[in-house]
Amino acid sequence: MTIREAPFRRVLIANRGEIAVRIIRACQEMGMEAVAVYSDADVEAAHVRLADRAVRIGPPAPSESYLRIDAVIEAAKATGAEAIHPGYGFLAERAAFARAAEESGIVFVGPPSQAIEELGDKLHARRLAAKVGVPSVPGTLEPAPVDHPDSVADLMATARGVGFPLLVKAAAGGGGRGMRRVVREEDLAAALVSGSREALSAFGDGSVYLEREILPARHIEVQLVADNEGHVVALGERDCSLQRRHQKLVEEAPAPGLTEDQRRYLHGLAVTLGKAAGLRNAATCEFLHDRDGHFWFLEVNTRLQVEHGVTEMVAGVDIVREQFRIAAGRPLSPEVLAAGERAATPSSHAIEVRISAEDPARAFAPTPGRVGRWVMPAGPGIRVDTHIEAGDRVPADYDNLIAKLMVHAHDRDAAIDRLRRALDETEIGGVQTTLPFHRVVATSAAFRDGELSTGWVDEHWDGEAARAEAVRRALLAAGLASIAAGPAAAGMLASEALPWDGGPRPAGRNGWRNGGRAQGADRWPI
Amino acid sequence: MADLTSDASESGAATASRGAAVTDPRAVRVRLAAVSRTADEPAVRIAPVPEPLRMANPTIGTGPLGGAAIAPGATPEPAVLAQRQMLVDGEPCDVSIRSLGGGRHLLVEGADATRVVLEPDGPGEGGSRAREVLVDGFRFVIETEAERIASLRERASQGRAASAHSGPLQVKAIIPGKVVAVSVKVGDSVTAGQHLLVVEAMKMQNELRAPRDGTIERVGVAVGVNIEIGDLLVVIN
Repeated sequence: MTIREAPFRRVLIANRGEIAVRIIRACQEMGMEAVAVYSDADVEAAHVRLADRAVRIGPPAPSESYLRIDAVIEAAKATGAEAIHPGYGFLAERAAFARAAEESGIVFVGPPSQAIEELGDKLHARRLAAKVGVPSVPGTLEPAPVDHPDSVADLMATARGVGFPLLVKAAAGGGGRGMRRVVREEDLAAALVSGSREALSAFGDGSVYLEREILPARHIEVQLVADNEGHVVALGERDCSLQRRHQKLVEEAPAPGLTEDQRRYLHGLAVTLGKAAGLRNAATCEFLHDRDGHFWFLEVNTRLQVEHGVTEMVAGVDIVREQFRIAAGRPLSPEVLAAGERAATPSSHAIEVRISAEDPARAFAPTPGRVGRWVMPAGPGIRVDTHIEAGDRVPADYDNLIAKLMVHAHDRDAAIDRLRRALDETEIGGVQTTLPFHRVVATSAAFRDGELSTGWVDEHWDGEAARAEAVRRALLAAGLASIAAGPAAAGMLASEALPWDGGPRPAGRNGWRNGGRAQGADRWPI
Repeated sequence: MADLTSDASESGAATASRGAAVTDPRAVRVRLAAVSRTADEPAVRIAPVPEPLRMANPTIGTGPLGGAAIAPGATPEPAVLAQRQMLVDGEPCDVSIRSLGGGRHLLVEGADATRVVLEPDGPGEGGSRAREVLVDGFRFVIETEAERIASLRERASQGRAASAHSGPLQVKAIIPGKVVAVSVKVGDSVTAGQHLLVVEAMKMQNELRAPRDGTIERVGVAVGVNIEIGDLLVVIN
């Protein structure tokens, strides 16, 4: 037996949450030491517990901790880390961060800074796509002149050319931040200003551009991996159509309903773009798929995606492991090359639901807080990526994703059945999560029929109705349990109960629990 | 952007008194605790069907319908926590609950069974008991109070309610975050739907709009202030 050589001796993970945990696990499996970084909000977080070492980098606010390039690079130097894995979010797509690592002699696990710059900036990427003949969503190729009110007239003409409704999008954007939907011409100026303001606050770059809104559309993306010799391989595609506020809720691989020819064509578009951009390591090409069957290029994410797990399950490869191998200068592994050959003819199906601390009955509003009961599903074909345990806090400072529940089965129907079963086993208390929405997805006939679109949530999710029915049952259950537990359980004076019954209380008859102490009447809120 | 930052509550909204002439001492009133309410959602009264009626009903206990509905295939057991016949807001209902252990319960309504988690209870508002309940992925905090106490309190607080009913509207935060913009000041008149302020939470900017027409009586926050759930944002009169 040979001991396989680890790509690096020590790796710093510049992230938190479930993705930091997932990367630390890969490090441990590959025999590499993992160094975590953490803010004051994460002193007791899972990634800190699991890592071999942990370095504090600042207060809770992301801008003072996880977004501080200098602090992260300093932590890597101080601990002797040879490589930095950025995960997703935070600094993952900051070319300046990749460059700072490169200049410090630390390997950045991701594309080179130049490719991040080219592909991570959506406007650059759109121009690149135009150059190599990959069709982009119609819209503008230069930043909108937000700061020059005199050029508004020109912009209005451009906007009419793109067509309403349109989207104002942040060039540096992601996750819907800085994005505004504009239906009427007169709302465009305000949308540009507020979109630009949010983009500036989120990314430090207020550049925005216009893009036609394609509806109904499916969101389909291609997972790419590329080595240093210019080999770019598509590991398959994912359908991520179920979104709210342009943030994904459910993802699956492969995208249902595509023919083998469509898959080859789509994977080809992504590989063309990846090659043109000098892509290395892992990235994802996102497309919109309209009703007429066209694929429109949307953007490239030059990083590991949240939803990479469903591709791993179907393709049978470990993408994070591959990222480390590539970062150490190794060629694409035989298993990745083989998976690339099979990518257009997938033979199994995986679905991921993002369990987030959000209230799906209140427009998916964030619900930070402390997690109470925490029961995750298990059994065949289940994978849960999480950083949460019962009693953990979900800080308001960061993304509210608390677990990714993934299921894998031989085909899509079986995967949906498995998802429904897994969700039945899942119990989360303390904070409201997106579970109710996912339960509706798992039992939805439309979802099973593959009717997917980015408007799915609005069309199929009635949060108020779902909540009202759950409230009704919860009230019944609490009331019945209280009656069964005896009078004192409901704050009743025990002495009141006996004369009315005129005999033994139910507690004595059926073995029901006797109530505890009586409540004092002086506590009534009058 | 969505309007999700506020919980507007009128003070002193009295629940209509519906109770029967004689209150069963086991009767309870259950309602969503303030943290789980989205509007003024009414309480529900649940009481066992009075004794004589109950005895006349053959479906209680081990009857064919009864046994089957509780748990298909299972032998009727003593773990049934409540009678199958209940009055829910005065309406007779075929509902029961049984414990599966570890806080898990099966709520049985006719032929439907729902898995419910009931966490241990603790002191709630007033003399009530509060507990977390998980149903269909939702979680709620639910307060249970003996119907007798609830109706007593209600009688005592009538009168007050009438005078407080048309009071000022307090807009409170339902998510924690940071105020990034305030577009009204004291004395401004606002119309329902008008933009009031922007709260940034979990990387999203959330716009707060006026829930009704009125005049701004108070602005409790300023730009840059961090707010917690329940913090007073604006008072509209």
